[in-house]
Amino acid sequence: VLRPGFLRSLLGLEGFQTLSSAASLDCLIVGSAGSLKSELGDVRLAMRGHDERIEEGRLNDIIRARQVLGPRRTYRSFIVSSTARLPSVLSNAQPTCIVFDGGAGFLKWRHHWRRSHWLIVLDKTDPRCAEAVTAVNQEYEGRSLGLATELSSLKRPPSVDLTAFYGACA
Amino acid sequence: VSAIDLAVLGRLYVDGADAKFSHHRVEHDEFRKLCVVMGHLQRHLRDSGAGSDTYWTLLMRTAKWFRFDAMASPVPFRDIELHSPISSLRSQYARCGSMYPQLAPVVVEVIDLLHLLSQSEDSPLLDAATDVHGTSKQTWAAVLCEARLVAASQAALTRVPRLKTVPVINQRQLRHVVWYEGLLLFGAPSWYGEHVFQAPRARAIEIFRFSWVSGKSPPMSSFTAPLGGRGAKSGDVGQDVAADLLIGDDHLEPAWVADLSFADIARQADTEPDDEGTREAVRARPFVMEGGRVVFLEADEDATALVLDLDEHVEDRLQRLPVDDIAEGMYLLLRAAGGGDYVVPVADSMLGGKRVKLRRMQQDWKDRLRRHVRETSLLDVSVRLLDLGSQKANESNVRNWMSRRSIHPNDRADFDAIMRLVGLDVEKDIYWRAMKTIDLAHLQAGQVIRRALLAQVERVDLSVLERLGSMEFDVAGGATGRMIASRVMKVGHEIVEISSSRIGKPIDVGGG
Repeated sequence: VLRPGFLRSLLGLEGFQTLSSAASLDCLIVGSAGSLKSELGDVRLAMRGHDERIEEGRLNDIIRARQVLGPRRTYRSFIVSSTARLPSVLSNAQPTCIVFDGGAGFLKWRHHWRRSHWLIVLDKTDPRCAEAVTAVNQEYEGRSLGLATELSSLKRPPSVDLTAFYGACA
Repeated sequence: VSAIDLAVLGRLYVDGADAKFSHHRVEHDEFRKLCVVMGHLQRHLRDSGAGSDTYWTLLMRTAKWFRFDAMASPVPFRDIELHSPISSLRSQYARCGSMYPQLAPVVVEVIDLLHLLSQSEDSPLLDAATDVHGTSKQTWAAVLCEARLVAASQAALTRVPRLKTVPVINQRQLRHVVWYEGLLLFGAPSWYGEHVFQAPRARAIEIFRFSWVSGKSPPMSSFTAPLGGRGAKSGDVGQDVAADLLIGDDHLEPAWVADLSFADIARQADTEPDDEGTREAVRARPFVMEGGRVVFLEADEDATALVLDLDEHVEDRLQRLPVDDIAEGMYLLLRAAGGGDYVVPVADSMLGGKRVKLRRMQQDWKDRLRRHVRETSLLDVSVRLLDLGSQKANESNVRNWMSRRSIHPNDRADFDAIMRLVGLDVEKDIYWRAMKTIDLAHLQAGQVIRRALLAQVERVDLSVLERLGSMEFDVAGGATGRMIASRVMKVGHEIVEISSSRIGKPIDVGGG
């Protein structure tokens, strides 16, 4: 594990061991592959450790995307390009969570992984945002808003719109 | 990762929600008169059915583009480029009285008003913006809905002391992490993307439009069940819907969209001389490009095209994407002259002396296969190929195999079946090797072009491409020549049939 100090400061020893002991496909991140790799691997973060030392890390130390870690590492997530073809091994995968980063990937791949939890991040400046919002609203039809109460205390900037709902497995 | 100013981000997410939109209605008697008269003429042409007569194309195209450019930019009337000179219009419509006697006076009035305005130094929208902008030293920008008007608008602003430091940008540049104290918008809000209003990049947004143009904002998308109500007030554009409606409709489309029929454009293109001497029809999807051009790309599910996606990370900006994945805002890469497939000329140069023989062989078996289809049918040929050992023969695949745009079937069994059917069974190995040689040359040509383009993309200032909407690239070391990257303004949803030689060739539909 690169930068173990950073991960230990963030997750504690047990969390660190859990995350780094075995590879597992917990999460798929669907979006612009190049930008995601760059954001995960290059953005420098800092965390104050127990002994007041500043531990430097990267987002990917936590996300552990396979394409950024390289081979023979204990990955936890996998980046899916919103423009590439989907490998069949991934279309049949059942990760715990799917992060759709951007409208294009969501619109293209939303018929997959319907048993996983979804986190959809849409940018209002994305040319396909309106289309993606319509698709989110279609997903909502007939669903329960129960999740909304759990998230109602979530703080967010005034320009950010949020919706949340439970969906039945398809 | 490019550095992002956190202070700017904070303003986008917090101050953006309090953006104030102000509408300024502007008057101009002669221009209003032109719009009224054009409205009468358009209604009459539509109601009488005469609008389909190509006789009217020159006048309507010239007048519509002039009207739109005057409404959508601060450019003085006299600096707006006329699609056709006034003298051509006068000569073309000199005999209108004998063909459309009841419309002749209206036509004369439209041409007279165009003439009058095209000599006028008036710039009502610019004057209004100057008054509002005052002497503020803060960071403002003028925003246009169309990139092709940026250069002329910047020149107009430069001549006004109060506005000379205000940069002119196009609306797509507001998708970046940028923040201005104020923005000056020109024309109908509906000509702008939702993001301009939903994700404001300034606290003050001043909208200048002629009083007879609707102030209705574009439809805003929102969640059916937002958490805790609407998070942002940014969708509240403070609509000033009131408009005089004297143009007969409260929604005036941009000139490049108005009256655009992709089927008509395809039909018209097919009537022009075909430089490749063939009439192979293919299904194609239309794309409206920046600068008033339409390009058709093959709609086959395996068809791809080269695009530049400025939203992507620098190494991934140049991509070969399935045509179905090409979206508004991406930049299509096309040959600047000649059109067509840019891989073919480079591949041909790689084939060298063998080119003529190999291409003749490729054409030979495809011609033979086409002849069989002509004499019977696609279905009949598919069935016969299956009988002869083909694995994948069906109507769609046979159509693809005989297309000049494919080289050979992927599966050798399919190829051998075709050779048997067309009487080339004995030479099937020679033909297969020849097709593989062409295939390899195409593959290598694609790599050469990609490398050359990548080098160019890294070298040039792509912010110019974003600001102006299109840009030419030199592709060194290839026979492709210059290539043009042009922004996709609109993806057509209707699939049309068009001659394969028209694929990838931009067709001018006005404006320019």
